[in-house]
Amino acid sequence: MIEFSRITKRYRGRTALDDVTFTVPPGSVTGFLGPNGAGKTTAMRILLGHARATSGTATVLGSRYAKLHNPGRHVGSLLDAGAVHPGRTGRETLRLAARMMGVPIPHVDEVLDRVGLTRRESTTRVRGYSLGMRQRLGIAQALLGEPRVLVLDEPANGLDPQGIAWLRTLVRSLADDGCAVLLSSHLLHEVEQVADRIVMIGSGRVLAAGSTRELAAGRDLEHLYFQLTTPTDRSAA
Amino acid sequence: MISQTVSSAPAIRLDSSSIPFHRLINVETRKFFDTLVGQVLTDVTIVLTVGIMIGYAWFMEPTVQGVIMISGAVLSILLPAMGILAVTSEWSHGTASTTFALEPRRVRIVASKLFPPVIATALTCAVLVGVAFVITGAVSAARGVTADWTFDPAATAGWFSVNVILVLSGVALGTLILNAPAAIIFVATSAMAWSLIAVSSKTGAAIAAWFDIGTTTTPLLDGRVTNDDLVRITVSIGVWVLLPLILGAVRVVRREVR
Repeated sequence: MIEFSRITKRYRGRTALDDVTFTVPPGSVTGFLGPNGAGKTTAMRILLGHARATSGTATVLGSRYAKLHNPGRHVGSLLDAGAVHPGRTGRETLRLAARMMGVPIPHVDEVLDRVGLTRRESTTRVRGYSLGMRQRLGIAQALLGEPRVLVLDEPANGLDPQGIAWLRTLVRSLADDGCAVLLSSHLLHEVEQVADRIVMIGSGRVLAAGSTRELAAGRDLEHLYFQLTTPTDRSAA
Repeated sequence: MISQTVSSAPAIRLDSSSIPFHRLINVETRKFFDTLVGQVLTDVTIVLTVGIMIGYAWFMEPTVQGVIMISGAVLSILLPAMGILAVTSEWSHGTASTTFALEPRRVRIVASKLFPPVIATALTCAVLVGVAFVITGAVSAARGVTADWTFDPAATAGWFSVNVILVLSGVALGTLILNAPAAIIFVATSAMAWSLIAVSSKTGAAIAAWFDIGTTTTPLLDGRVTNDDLVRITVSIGVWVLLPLILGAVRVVRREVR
């Protein structure tokens, strides 16, 4: 369960988020859509405690992220696939995370299998990884603590078509197992296929929120997206 | 009060306990040694130090204590750099966000990062003491002169303390500045600045006697520390280790992480 309640974030006069309120219920995938600079990443960073909201509260599983003990066991997150030390192997990166969370080390191999990184790939230094491989590694780390909440910022970025299809199946099965999944993306058709609910933001404001079926009713999501978001949303960033 | 606009589920009881501090130290130590910074820096420190120790034994005199103490010439430069690189690595590689996602209480991360450089320093010192005996024996045999095996425990303990203080000053500055090149330049220029200040005037010498770690810790290296010396050592540690560490911790806790 994720709850954003009246979150506002201002940076020196610029408003990045303006009174953002929405929830991500358990057992669902919520697609988080909006142009570049609309505030998706900022909202996720505030949720995870990387940035502070000017006002409002964001909670995971009923409490602020910073108040969670060993949060990796409850919330899996991937905000930036590049935030990995290039000199470590993928496996070592996961082993460190497993040690920190107190997850048994053999579980590292299970998640590596689950995200489709081969033994050979996982024992090479991350420096040599493609963006797609980094995304898979990041997703593996997010899954490592068997969390009930997942926060993924553009996880499809850099994945090939097979990878995108795999991600869709993965996210769907996690939600079906009861996870609350918040997933931002630019791939409208992908989101339309996998998300139960959609939250669309532009210039830091929630433009539309509801079930995917309702929002895409009659037309497709792209139509609504272009209607609601304007090029000025980008310049506002 | 904000009106309840969203359905609010009761907080789910989170049964898992917080990450024990020893586990954070364990992970940070592993992070220190599993990357090039830790490995190469420890290796380079040992190689360069051993080099200067051999040089001393060969060209000066093969005395165990002299060989141990000469290592300070290299360590006083490399240990602060090691401390700096150990704590700035996460910020250079943008991995701080990943670490804080797993332990949002950032003060605990700052505290656990004090340990690996100190552990590396202790290991290095232990190796160097052993090596000093080997070098003394080998060089005296090769040169055909008698070795002086006099070992001064007090001076060696002082030398060890100075090394720990040096590496911690690097950790503290690194935590405050969070940028490796800037912190290293600061350390290098401040070392030069102090040597100028100390000889510039009477006042300069008096200031250095209280605030320059290099000056205040000299009695430790002689193995004879008076109460007056201890006060000066404490003051300089306060200024160059505690103060930057506290300010740095505040900065890390408040900072927005990318």
